[in-house]
Amino acid sequence: MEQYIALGIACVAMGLVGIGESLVAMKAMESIGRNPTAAKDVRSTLIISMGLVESIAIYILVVAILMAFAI
Amino acid sequence: MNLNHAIEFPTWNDIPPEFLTSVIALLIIAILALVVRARLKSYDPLKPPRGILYAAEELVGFADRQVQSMMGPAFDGFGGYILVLGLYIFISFILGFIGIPNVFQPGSEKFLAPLPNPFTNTAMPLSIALLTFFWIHFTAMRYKGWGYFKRYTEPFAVFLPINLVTMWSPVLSLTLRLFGNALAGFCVVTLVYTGFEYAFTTVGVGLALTPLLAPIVHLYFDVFDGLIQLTVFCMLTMMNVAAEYVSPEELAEAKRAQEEKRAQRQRRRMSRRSAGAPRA
Repeated sequence: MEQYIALGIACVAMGLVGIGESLVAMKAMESIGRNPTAAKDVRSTLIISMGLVESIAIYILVVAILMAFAI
Repeated sequence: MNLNHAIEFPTWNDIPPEFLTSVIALLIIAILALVVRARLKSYDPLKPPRGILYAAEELVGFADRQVQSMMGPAFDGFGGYILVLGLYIFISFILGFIGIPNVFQPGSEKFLAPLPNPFTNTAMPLSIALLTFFWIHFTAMRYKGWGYFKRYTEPFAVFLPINLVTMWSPVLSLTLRLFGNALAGFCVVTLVYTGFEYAFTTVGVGLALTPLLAPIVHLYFDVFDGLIQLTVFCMLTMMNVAAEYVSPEELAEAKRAQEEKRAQRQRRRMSRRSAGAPRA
């Protein structure tokens, strides 16, 4: 029972990561709108920083899998 | 106590299939490199390159340009390592998505099962993360000399245990990033296939619709995710290694500043002593 509650909390943390990632996308879109010629550079930086933010979600996933199967 | 079973050497069938996929990926890279080398011998430099030579030239040029712009001119030959690292990660993800049948281990339970993505085993991402760790410390030792050991006692000597633990954080983060991504892709794809099994109860409908829907999932979770993670991994490797570089001028300047500070301290001590002398 307790591990299911813990998994639910892990999913809440994943939602927070989603908010963070959307902030990254929002700022990138704003800067593309302000300076469309820089779109190429902004896009590559956006994808890299998205990957970095996403890694937090992946850590949560690893913890969740460990909780679900190992404990 | 029976120590006979303390150390058991794995037999050929005990080897995890991930290792075989990794070896296959490395063999593919080696064969490609040999083919390019053989083609280069009969290559006329006046004609534009074609076929695999063109692809190789573009790839090497791209890696070199990335290394130049991220790390500066001091790391001129580092593009080769980055290129092989990227190719290894990408080909591994592609192999996990193709799923070559495991014909190498007859007699084991996994005989003829599809070979998985090597990064679903923690050992593979850990090994390439350890390579990055080696590069970071090798670069620091090469450019800083004995000053390399100063990093463990910064800012004070009390921080030594903390610094000894912090040293391993890039390895952990790189390992878990790659491992988690490969595992997440594997889990989601398996879930989608299970969902298809329940959704299409008639065999004919399933056979007709699954090849149309499954490639979308594979495209995102194997190809796109693999590309993003390989970019992030290579970027982090380049940034971490480039952060350790100190140009000779900077090193000389740091030494001069240190000596100046020492001289200033000595002067202050001398003046204090001379000021205190009449009183005594």
